[in-house]
Amino acid sequence: MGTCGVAAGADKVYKAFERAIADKGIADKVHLGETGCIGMCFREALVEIREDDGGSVLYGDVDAERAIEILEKHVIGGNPIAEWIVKGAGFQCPDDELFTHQERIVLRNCGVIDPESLDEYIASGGYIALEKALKEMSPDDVISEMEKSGLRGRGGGGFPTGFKWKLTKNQKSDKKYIICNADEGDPGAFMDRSTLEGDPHAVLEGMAICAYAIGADEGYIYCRAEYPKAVKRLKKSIKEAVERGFLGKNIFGTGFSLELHVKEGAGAFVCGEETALIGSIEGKRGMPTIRPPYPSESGLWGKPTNNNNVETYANVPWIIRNGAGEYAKHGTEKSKGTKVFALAGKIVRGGLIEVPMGMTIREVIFDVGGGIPGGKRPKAVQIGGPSGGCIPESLWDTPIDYDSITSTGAIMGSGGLVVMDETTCMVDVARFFLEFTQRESCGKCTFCRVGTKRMLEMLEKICNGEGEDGDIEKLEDLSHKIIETSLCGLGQTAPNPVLTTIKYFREEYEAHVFDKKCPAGVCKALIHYEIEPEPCIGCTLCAKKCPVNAISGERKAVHVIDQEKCTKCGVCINVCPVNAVKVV
Amino acid sequence: MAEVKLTINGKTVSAPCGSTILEAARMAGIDNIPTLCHDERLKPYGSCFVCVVEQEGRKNLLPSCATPVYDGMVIHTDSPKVREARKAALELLLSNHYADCIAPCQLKCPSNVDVQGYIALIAAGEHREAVKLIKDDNPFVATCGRVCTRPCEDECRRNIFDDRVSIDFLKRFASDKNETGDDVYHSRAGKDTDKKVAVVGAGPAGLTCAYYLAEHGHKVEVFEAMEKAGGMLRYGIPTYRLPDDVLDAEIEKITELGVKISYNKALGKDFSLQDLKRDYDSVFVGIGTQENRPMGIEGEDTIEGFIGGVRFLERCQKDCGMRLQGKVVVIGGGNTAIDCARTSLRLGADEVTLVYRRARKQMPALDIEVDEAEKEGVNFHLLATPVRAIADDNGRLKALECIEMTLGEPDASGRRRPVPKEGSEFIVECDWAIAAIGQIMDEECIAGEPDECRPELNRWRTFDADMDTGATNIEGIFAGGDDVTGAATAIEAIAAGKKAAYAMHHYMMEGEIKAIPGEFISKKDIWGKPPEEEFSQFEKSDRRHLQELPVEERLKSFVEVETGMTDEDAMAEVTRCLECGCASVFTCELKRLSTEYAIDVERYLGGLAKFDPDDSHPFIRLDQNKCILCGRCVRICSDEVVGRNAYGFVNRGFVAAIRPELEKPLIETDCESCGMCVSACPTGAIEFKAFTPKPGPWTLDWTDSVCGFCSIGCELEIGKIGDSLVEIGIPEDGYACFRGRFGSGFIQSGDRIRTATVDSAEVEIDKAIEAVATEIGHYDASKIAVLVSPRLPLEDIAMAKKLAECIGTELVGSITHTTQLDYDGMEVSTGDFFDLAVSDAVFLIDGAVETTHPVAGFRINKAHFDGAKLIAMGPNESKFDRTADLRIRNKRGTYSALLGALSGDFDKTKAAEMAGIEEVEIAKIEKILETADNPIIVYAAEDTPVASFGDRALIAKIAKRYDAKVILLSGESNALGLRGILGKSEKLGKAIMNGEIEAVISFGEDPEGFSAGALGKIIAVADFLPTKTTETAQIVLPLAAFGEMEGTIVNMFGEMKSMDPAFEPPNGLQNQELMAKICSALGFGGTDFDIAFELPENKAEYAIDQKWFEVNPPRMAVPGDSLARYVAKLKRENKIAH
Repeated sequence: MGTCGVAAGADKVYKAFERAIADKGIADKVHLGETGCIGMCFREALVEIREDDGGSVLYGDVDAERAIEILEKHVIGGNPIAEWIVKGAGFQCPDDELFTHQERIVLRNCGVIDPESLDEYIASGGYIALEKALKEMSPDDVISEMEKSGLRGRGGGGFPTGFKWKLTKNQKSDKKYIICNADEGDPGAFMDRSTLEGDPHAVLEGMAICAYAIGADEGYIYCRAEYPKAVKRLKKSIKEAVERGFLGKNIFGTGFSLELHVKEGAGAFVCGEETALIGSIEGKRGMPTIRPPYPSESGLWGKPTNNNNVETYANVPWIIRNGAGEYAKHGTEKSKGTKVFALAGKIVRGGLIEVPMGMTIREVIFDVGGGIPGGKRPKAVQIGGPSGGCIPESLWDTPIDYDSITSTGAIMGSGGLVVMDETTCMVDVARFFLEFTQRESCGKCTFCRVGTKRMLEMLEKICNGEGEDGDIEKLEDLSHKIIETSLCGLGQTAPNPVLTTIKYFREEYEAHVFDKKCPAGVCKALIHYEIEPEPCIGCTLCAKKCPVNAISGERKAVHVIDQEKCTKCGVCINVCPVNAVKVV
Repeated sequence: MAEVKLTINGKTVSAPCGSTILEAARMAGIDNIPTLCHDERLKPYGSCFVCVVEQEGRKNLLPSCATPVYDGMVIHTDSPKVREARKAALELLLSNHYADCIAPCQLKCPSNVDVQGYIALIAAGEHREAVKLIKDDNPFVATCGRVCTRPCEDECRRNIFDDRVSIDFLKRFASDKNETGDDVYHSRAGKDTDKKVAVVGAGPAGLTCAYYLAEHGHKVEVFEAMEKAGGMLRYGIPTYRLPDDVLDAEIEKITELGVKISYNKALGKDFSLQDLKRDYDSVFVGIGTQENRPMGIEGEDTIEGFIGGVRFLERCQKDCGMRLQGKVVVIGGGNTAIDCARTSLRLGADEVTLVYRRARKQMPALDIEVDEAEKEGVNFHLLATPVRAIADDNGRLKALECIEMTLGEPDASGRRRPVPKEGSEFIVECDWAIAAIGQIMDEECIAGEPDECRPELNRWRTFDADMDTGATNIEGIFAGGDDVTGAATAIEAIAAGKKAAYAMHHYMMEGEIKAIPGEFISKKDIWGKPPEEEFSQFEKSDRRHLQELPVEERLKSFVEVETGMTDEDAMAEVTRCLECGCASVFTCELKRLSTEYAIDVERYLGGLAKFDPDDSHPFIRLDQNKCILCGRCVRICSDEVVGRNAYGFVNRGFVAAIRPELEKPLIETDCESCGMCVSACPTGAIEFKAFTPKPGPWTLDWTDSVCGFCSIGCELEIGKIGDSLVEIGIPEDGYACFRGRFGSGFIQSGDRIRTATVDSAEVEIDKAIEAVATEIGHYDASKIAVLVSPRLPLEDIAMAKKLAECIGTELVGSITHTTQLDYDGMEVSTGDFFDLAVSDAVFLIDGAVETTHPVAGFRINKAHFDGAKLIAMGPNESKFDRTADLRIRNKRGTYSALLGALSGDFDKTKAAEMAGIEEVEIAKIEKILETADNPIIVYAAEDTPVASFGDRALIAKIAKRYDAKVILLSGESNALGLRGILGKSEKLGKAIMNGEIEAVISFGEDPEGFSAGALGKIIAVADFLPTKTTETAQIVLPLAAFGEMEGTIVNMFGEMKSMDPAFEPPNGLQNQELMAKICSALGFGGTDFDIAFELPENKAEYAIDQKWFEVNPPRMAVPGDSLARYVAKLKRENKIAH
């Protein structure tokens, strides 16, 4: 069970099964286990029934009551409940589409094995790659294999992984470190969390292979403390791996040793930046320092250090086991392999997916994600989190690879994909992301600390209908200055959401500034609600639900909103059965 | 060292590998890269982004302070893109900088008089300096102290929660004190420039212009139409407000600069502008507005008894016997009207009524003037105006017909326009009507000028001159004062004269008319008036006023009404000043750059992160409102240098801030008060509290000196104003500790010995010296010891030796620097702080160096931070407990055993046992020293050679064994110099041991404190503070102290450092002069002996032990310790190959 499943009630379902299995006295015939997140978040809680013959079906939207019914009818009675099945051979389930376009390398075990069982990991081919690397390959062989695979850093930068390892390997030092960046901080992103919760050993194995390649004997997994389940599983997994000789001293009897620690971060977004992350592990304030020197020369405690993120490491065992050539078959010429995305926002099938590089945005959104719900018009997708940008629907045929995404003004980032439709105000989106980055700026550099604050104030002004002629240009100008004069990635990319929204949705900004209108009907200062007399049936629902008693009207008569009192909370819109409330 | 080649601004430059762009540029002499967060003493950081430069082929700008150079880089340090980015960085910083560079009072003053500065000088008792400071902007101190309209006081921040400071009264107070003091301030004419200036009109504008031009060295001639100078100050202001003698004295201070005033010379009659333009290099016209503005009512011009206000005041100024009888009506609401009314009373009028068309609130006259007039009995008829003058049969004024007014809509000036009430006419009987409703310029006087010499007039019929320079459309002719602005105030005229003088000076010298350069000024007011809560820390207090004559006294004469301020009131009043302006205004780098880059502070104006200043610390004040988060304080106080970590960062984003650790008040942190944070702060966020009662700030006189508290001899700068010590500073990127920075305040303490005493009775210094000579005669000369402190400079020690010769004794030296033993111990450091900076292992002997030699502690921290291993040995708790790689807490008194073990002279097991440590620790020390390439030993274990000679001998051996440099530290500033001049003082040592000394003369030593009674009779002691010895000595002489001494010291690195005196020593005697006088009294050296004393060029000539200086030649001092900078310096001096 991943955090998302638990949030949807998976633990109650699990307990219901447990109790029912005991009540029915079938504990010896049925194995109840848990897995990590399979990615179908919009149908949590999910329950998979696996037959001995390997067949399986996946039930969605399971609660405690349904659990008992599934147990009785399907497990005991042998009659699957077709209407609840979301995936299963021979069953009609449109949501199945979520999986049909995916290619799962990183998520190969997520939702499949019990993440807390080392045996299950081993059974799925775990630690074979490490043994192969240690016993059959030299560190240079490993690096060369990585270079051949074409894997690029999945944390956002896209730096070639093999080359990065080589830089650290080539440093002469009595001590080297390896770091796994698990400080996933983008709002809406949960790729790393799901991977750590669903397949922690894959990350550990990838780190061990890397440590061997670069000559490190100690490492840290810097994981945000807001991921308690991931932290717990990591710690447990490390302990078990040490006990079994996959980590710790003299691994596989080869003399190679690796000590891994889990360092819990306190939730500063900027600690995802590698120099800040290193500072934080050292016990300092998480604040980026100037590069060079790069961590590969002088990283943790001044020693050469390799730092990759969770997804990058999780790829490694697969590559070593299956070979670089096999890996390179996935993806495009310059962006090999697959990419994990957290699909969220205005989309039918939100969840965690892994697709080959080169798939277009449109394919991801429509084929995998099932498109926009409610028949709304698609508008844009925000990719790359607060450092990324908004790509308009007109550019959705862009293939997802590092270079194509960058050419739109966004960045690949770590894998957040937030889909927006016509009801999303792009100025408000820019404001939202900037509010995040300005709050998360460490405060070191002038432009990032004060500049993002001033940008946020300008955006707030525009959203409040107080924008003036010249403000948009001022925003653009300040954006460029911040990009050009910040020490770390946070500042250098913070203006991206603003610049891309201005680039693709300038008319929406202009509507706010000049016409004092929010075309998407979001910015409260620029809109008001009205009840159209025609459709209103006088059901009184809106009047009853209005928290400030701003709506009046007799039963069966047209209702009216008192604009003085209205706080534009939107409750009336949501409750009106006949869509009579309009944003004007 | 490998070099890289790069191009900066088109110039090929080479720099050592590893240098930053900033260092490379500076080494190449390219000094136009500004920075706020960079500090030579600290590792590159890169946060302010003011130092950005552009690299060809890169989109992003680079922080030059933190970006290393590489071969082939092409850098531009001053491109438009770079300048724009720097400007924006500064604008962003200032958009969150809630602070005033300069107090609102000064900003409001038309002539920008430094109000806060002179109030602080008054608080320090520096009245002459206060007057001098005011005269930088306003030559009429005494005058303005009486008649100024005080726009400054309107702006006083105290108005927000209390009552304004009596600024103008204080100005008058300073002026009065200066005038009655011993040393009245007179400014000086500048060096003759050979330029001639004509000034037309000896009013405030013209005379001010003349004053500043004369200060610039120009020859100035003033042409005045009246028979006396002063203009409106004389003829427009009654003497009960501004007595003639005060004005005369002030004008005399202008004429004594060489300004010539020709009287009874009127423009248009006696000379023309055309003449002046021809005969002078430039001309200033300050003719003012001398004509009354006509009322435009019937009878005004024809009826006798109807007179203009200006004419009236002028007439009574000229005619001392003038009397006035009957009823007087004064028309108008300005200061002139009030002056006319009050003057009329004094001239004997039976009844005076002031008629004004608006309400009292709208009267332009000063409130205080109106109050005084009312007190003196002037009647007010407000909201009325005359419409007709009525004459009697003789054509003499009989009455005025007036009409009532009401206030209508506000006019352009914002005042409500008075509207006549129809049918409300009334008659006021009167014998005199004085109309003071305004003044106009006399255009007639220039009517005859040819076009090319007649400056253009504007629509108000005054000169159309530039307000910042006074320049008119006619080249070489400038104008200012009322004849440009229309009738205004004295201070506005003075300001105009000052501005014009600046412009004229540049015009004449450079051919270019320049305005006084504007500076960037940060103002709290751009966020609106500060709220009252902001002042909650201040107590409310009553405002003090001037003493005044009682009303009945006043009306009898024109004697000055206000008689000045008492000392007590003035002192109470100065403490009311809130010191709104920033104490760092003269040094603030942020301000300087903001001016240079001409920033627009409003461009990014937005929300503020506000803080309450932290005033908890006795020496340091924090105001985070001024902080730009450069982190220099955090870094310098961290283990990188100071090692106290008193500051840290808190919060993220815009509200990120630097706070004392754990957000406590600074005083509650581990702060050791070294002031390094102050030296690092590029703004006024961390400031010293001045030694003076108020911080000023002022432009200080700086004198270079050397710290006398230990043998490192840190360079200090003594900052003073007048006779007051304000601040002890350090050179840029220098080092100093709490003692150097704050400990020297004693020199102005009340405890100082300033006069000589014989048998506890104060006597003249010469009498005391004679007494010393007499007393010496009572003893066997060879048994008299001359003691001299190793804190005194070489010159003093040499003279002490001379004195001993004169007395006829060989017993001379310092009690703590004698020995009976011959030994091989090292005496001079073989390494210095540069060696320390580049060392890779530091062996510190006595870990308590942080208290005995804090600066050495900082340097050790820095070396350690840069990667050197640190061994800290010593019994006392210290900073190094936490940071040292190897911390050895040996028992007290066991250094020799451990050093012996390390030198191979002593058994390790025994040594470890004695020291109370594990034997393996000794091996660890050896391991670190063995594996280091550049080890250095820092020895600070004992203060005196007597106690530590053995250690030093062992250290010499250890140093040899590991090829280590050695730094030896002593507690006294000139221990080596003393050694160099007096040798080992074996004879003195033996005499002390054997109790052979009968009597003592001591300079700065405390033999009684050392061992009471041991050295026989104390004939005389010279010292700067009381000691046990001064308590018992028969004769006590004052000694010149730090800041007063002149001379040279030799620090423990063998570097000679000289001290200049900042202050006059007691009795005006340097210590060597005092000693020389004693020699003279003993009959040596003749009468010229004391003044014939001269310092030989080669200081080593003092040494008996010439060889000592030969073996230990003075070394070059290493400035800062940036490696790249040091290498560059060596290169410049051709000490290493390029």
